[in-house]
Amino acid sequence: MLSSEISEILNLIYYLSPFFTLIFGTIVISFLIIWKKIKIAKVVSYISLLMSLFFTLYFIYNNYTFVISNSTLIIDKFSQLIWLAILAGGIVSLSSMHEELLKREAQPLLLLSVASGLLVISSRDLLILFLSLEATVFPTYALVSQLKRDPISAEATVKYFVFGILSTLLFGYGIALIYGSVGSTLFINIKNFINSQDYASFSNYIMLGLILIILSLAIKATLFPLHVWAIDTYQGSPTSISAYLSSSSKIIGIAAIALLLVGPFYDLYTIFGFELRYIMSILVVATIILPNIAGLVQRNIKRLLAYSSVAHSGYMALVYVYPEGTLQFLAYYLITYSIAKSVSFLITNLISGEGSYSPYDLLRGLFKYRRTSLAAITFAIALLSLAGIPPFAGFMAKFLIFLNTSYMGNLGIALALIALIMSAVSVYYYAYLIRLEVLPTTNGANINFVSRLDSNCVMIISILLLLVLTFYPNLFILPFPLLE
Amino acid sequence: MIDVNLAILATIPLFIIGFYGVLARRHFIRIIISFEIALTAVILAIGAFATSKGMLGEVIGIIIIAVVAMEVALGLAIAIQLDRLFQTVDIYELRKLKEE
Amino acid sequence: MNLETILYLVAIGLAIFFSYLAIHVRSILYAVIFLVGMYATSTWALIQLGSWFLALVYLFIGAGGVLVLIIFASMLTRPAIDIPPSRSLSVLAFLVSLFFASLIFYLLFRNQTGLTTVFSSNYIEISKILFDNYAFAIIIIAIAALAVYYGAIYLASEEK
Repeated sequence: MLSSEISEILNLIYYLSPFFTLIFGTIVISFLIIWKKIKIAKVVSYISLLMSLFFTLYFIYNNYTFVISNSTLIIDKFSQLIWLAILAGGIVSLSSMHEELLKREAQPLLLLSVASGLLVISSRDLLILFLSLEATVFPTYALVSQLKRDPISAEATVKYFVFGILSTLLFGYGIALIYGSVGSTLFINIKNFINSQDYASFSNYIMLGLILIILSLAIKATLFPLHVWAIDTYQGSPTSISAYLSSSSKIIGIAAIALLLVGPFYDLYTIFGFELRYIMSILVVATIILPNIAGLVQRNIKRLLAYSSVAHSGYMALVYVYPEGTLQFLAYYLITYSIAKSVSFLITNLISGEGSYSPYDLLRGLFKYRRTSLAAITFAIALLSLAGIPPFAGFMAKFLIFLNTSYMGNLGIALALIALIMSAVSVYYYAYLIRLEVLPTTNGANINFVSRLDSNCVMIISILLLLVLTFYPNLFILPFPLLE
Repeated sequence: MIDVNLAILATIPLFIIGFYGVLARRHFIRIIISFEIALTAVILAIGAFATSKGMLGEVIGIIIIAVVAMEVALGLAIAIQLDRLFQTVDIYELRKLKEE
Repeated sequence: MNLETILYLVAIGLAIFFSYLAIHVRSILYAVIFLVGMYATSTWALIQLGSWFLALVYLFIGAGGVLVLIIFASMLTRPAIDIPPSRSLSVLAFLVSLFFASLIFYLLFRNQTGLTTVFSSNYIEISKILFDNYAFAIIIIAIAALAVYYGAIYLASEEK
């Protein structure tokens, strides 16, 4: 009896080893921080993140699929591939943390947020998804605060918290309505219910529940009407935390919406026909066009990167319009986006520090000095990848998503064209930043540049990945019919 | 025997009052109070469904109550920290500080 | 319309009344007092529905935990009198809330589901579901609680 229970627990730990590694690391680090061993704590958090990455790669390599805890959690290729993107964002964010954050409990909070983010993607139950999403957000409420008398940071904290509680409310009401009509929160039961005869009398409940849940997740994914918090929060929070929020935290929201639309609610695409696709495409078009235009007039690096990240969530949201053709390439897009975006925030952090002050002029003369040339090259490559310029991985990701959207009919062609045009517009502000790096500094101002071993390693690895991944998109193909 | 549809419809004003409070009020602690009010509507809806669909609803309700209590605790920690750094918890005053 | 329904609607009406006062009264401490009334009446409504277990949990955590936290926080912060918001913002918030209200009313009023309250709370079944099917949820709640704990430490740490 007892031995079977023990083996069950050991199996659980093995199946969720990427998650439990991070939790174990968190506990160790929190003790190390109490004893003021900051350097060792940072090494331990690197080790736990890299071990988590290693276990994930091992699962992917062996094609493992695990079903655990009464099939409320399934670790399949979908979750494993998106875990890679989340962990990449976490590692880069950790490498960009300054001393002031490391001294406090920033590392355990970051690891806890990443760990519960892994669970969001692999949950196949609305209740578990809700819980792990909340567990992802809680650490970031604290991390967003600069703990300084900086009014921009205060506004960032307040906006993030208020939008967070709105998201909780909407998700709570949505989960209530869907539970009330289905009688269960398992994805597979919801899918079966939508196909059954009882659906007709509950269709409004399910529709309203889905709307509320998607609105709630759209706050995390910064889709159009709900992206307003993101600009101020990315600017006001510490830059390393902006790197985390704009990469991993957003990826969790995007992938969770994709998980719901492709998993339990996929049959609504056939029931509603074109209505659902039209609503989604309005959302996508607004999310692509507005931030790209607003980005043209920015004069602050962090604000510009925030606008660009909102625009990118519009490109990712193209998947929601035609999931049958484009979902396969979502993971590839997320991984390349996560690396490029978090690395661009890392370099912003190296030249401007954790504060919210980051005018464009700080970039001047970055190419000129030897000690900043690596950062300059990495920044240029990350921005070119975000813009979608050919030899870099961002190009291939955008190309695959746009091309496969355009194959899906007239609406798809229109959407792909809009996305292509706006992505051409976005080249302007990326190129403007890269041009600034070449220009000389104004009246001989010095560059405040912090050079660290770990951030240099991260920069070199990310350059290599952004170059190499272009040729291997087929390694990251997601399985399409999610629930079988 | 209470009609569940009627029970759910009756909770909507509660949800909307809380929602309005979160969006419109200035005091940070008042925003959290509004959040609690809107949450009550969610709990009432889940309670109504649980009595017609089975006990899973009550489990969902208990878990949501636990999560929200934690969220409120963090929110109040943020309020106290804002008060310590800026000597105010009025979010309009905070915005005014930014414009100066 | 039977007696149970009427009592439920009376309880909900009182809860709405108290919540309206809690939003609109100027002093935070008075708002907390009206919040107590809201907790009490909504607990009554939940008991009227039959889910007394959820009602008790809500009363204990809400009135026993959250309310005490709110009172402490409002005493630790400056006693700012909450001024009514500017007209443009309150109109905007009102319109957004009205949009939500009309959306929910429109979608829920249209079809009668025919569901009625038949069960009453059964704590044995609740514990069975919680500890058998959703045992993993407890681990996640523990992790969220850890995050809140570290977050509170992080927010409380003094600048050096």
